[in-house]
Amino acid sequence: MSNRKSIALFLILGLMVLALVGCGQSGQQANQKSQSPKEAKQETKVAEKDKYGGVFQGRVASDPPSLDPAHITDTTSHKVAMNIYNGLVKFDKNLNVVPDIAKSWDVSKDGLVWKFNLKKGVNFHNGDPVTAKDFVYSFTRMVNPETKSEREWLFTSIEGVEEFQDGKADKVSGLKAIDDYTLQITLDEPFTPFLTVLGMVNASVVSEKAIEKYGADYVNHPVGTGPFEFIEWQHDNKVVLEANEDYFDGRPYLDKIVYRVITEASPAFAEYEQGNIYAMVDGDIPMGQMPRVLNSEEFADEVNKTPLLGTYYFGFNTTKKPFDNVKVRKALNYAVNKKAIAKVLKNGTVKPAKGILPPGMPGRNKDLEGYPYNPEKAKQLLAEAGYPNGLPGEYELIYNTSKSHQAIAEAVQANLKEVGVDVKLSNLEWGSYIKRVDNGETQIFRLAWIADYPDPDNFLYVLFHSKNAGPGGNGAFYQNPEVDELLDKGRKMKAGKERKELYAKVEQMVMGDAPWIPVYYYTRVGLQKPFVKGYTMTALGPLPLDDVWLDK
Amino acid sequence: MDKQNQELEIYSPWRDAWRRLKKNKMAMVGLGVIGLLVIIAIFAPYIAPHDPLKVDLMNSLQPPSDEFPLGTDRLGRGIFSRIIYGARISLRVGLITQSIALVIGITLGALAGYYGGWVDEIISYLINVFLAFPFLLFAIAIMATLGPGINNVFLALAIVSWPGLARIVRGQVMSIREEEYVEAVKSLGANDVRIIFKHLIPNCMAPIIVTVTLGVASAILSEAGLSFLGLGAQPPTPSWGLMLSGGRSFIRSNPGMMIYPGLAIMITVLGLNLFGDGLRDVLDPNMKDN
Repeated sequence: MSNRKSIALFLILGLMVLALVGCGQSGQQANQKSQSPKEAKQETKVAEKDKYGGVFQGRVASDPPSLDPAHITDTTSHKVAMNIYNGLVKFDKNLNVVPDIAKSWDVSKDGLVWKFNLKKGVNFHNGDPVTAKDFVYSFTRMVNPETKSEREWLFTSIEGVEEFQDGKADKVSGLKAIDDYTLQITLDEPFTPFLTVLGMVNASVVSEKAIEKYGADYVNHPVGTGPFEFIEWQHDNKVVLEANEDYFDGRPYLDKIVYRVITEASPAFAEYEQGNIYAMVDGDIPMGQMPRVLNSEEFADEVNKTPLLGTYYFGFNTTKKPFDNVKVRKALNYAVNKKAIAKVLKNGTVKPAKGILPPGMPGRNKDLEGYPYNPEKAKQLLAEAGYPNGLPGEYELIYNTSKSHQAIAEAVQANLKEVGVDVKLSNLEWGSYIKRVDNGETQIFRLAWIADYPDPDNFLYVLFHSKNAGPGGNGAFYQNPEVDELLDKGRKMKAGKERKELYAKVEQMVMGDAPWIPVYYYTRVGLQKPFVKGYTMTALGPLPLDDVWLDK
Repeated sequence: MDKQNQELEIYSPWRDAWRRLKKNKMAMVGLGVIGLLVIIAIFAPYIAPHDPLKVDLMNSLQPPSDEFPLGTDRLGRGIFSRIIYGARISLRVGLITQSIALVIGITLGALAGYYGGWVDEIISYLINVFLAFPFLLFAIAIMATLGPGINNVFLALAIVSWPGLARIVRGQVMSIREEEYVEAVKSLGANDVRIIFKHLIPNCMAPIIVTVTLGVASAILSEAGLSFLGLGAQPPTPSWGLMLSGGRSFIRSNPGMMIYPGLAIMITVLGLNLFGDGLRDVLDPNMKDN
């Protein structure tokens, strides 16, 4: 390279840098589409027929791990799949259980026999009508050992499941199709949250024909009954759904939904600003843009904040030394400054956690103090555990790839270093990450739990019962027989004060054993375009898009 | 009568090269940058005002000030201090990677060039296979296998760099092994090892030096790329590439978080390349035709 060329190159690069700096400061106004907050607030009556049409541009942060109800355990898969499937019941915006395919139901006095009357005229996307037999098939499939469903434990309270799983019976005796439109489910023992469990996507009805036809490839050809039909899935690129013209509840307004896979928050946010994505949730909003989104005028009519029934935490693998020592776990709990993380890294939008259950969850123990930031106490506890100079060696803290998780992980790493614990950070993309956690290949791991239904059983039973160690949800491999016993008891108790007190006690016991470092309770900060109507965010996440229409 | 004291200058090709190099302004700028990098790396604890690893959330995302000359990042760490310490990482990557590549490359290249025959065939085959892979993709693949971390980066980049060096050494050795002075030394009874290491290799130093200098630049750039992708240095290491990646979420609100590490990488690599080019011009103008 000649000298003159070097100088020229240097100058060009220098100019580029200057241009970039200039853009950064004044660029806040550059990417604005027309903002007319006044217009958005006017409630102009739009005729029903004009609401139809349009393509909803959505985004998912990773390729959904699965669209098969038997294998859905994460929020990304759930977000897409909930539009494809229906179950017996569903949740309304206040999280009350309301009819879906079942139009009515009753339960016997002893709480064991549930009878569901199904709506007529419900069809699968392949045209087949839905009958009670299809529900028997779907639920049997969930508990069939060959399916290897991670959520089979949702259905184990049904009578006859054990005999079926052991091979002693060729069907589940508790699942009966009395006639085409009457389904009867008999339970082994009363299970109070049973109705809410049936509202989960894992309890969706699936087409036996489709599953037999596609076998292992069913995940790429999901067939449900939902407001939207599956059209195509280009892995790591997008999932496309189209309106189900024959949906039993009336054709949805939208013609199509496209979920684009955009892993990085910054480009996703840029797409939102350009109007190529219509709704964002806070995992999508880059950290650097949060203050602007929360405080400036520009997003005033687009931003919404919803507390979620979710908890963000770092779990210990309690089977691995030295995390099998409760004093060590408590010490590390005291070492982490949760308030600072909530205030600075989450811009004060979330509440630091004092316990496992988030506010709004019945059965929550309001008296829990948690482990407020106290590095002195942390060092003291470590010394008591036999580590006066901190923990020897280096430990691995893993998290799923994301800039915001990285920032929080770094803050925790620094907190732990201060009390003499060296951790190195690793990250993996979500699909591979969750496999490692499920297999116990962890020492300290980051996770969050968002409730599937508003019952403390959905948190505490899934996350802390020894039966669920590993893929069931108990990533800490926590084992406490007393807690197990209480959790089993709580599932059968009638709803009421006594049941709430039982769960409050469980929460206290679990916090005393400190298998986790709970960090904060989720608040979903969301953005949606003013022309998106009917998009509802509940404390469990967004509702299916069957009532969404686009005012443009 | 001649009253001046005429100094007889000892003619040496190295001195001559140095004199010519000094005249090349751009190369001298490059040398200055390299010198600056070395000084900053060595004296980092004295130059940096803050601990590059200390997390202080209350100071998160501060604009440049007296206390923090370039502001702070998300976790309240001073960007200026992190860039200073980042020089250490860049220097280490450059030196260690090239050292390993040097040892492997020179040895294999010299053996192939000197012995020829099946030794040459095997080594040449290896060289060609390795060189067939795109440089950065190969490094990424190696990192994906070894796992992330700066130590694996040294190994991966060394593996990707040695073939280029080996090929050059091989070519050089082949061209000078028939020279008369080699015959002379042979007839005096020198064994092969002595011939290779004491006579052949020192006469290849010119292209080796150039390749290594340019290799350091390439290594620094590659480490930045790997760390940017999440495959290299892991947080909280103040690697410039990692800082670039961390600044991505803030490119609109705090562009400095990306601009300053980016500038550091650019200036360092440019300086090394300018110096390396200058060296090449001076030591062996014929090399440009490669």
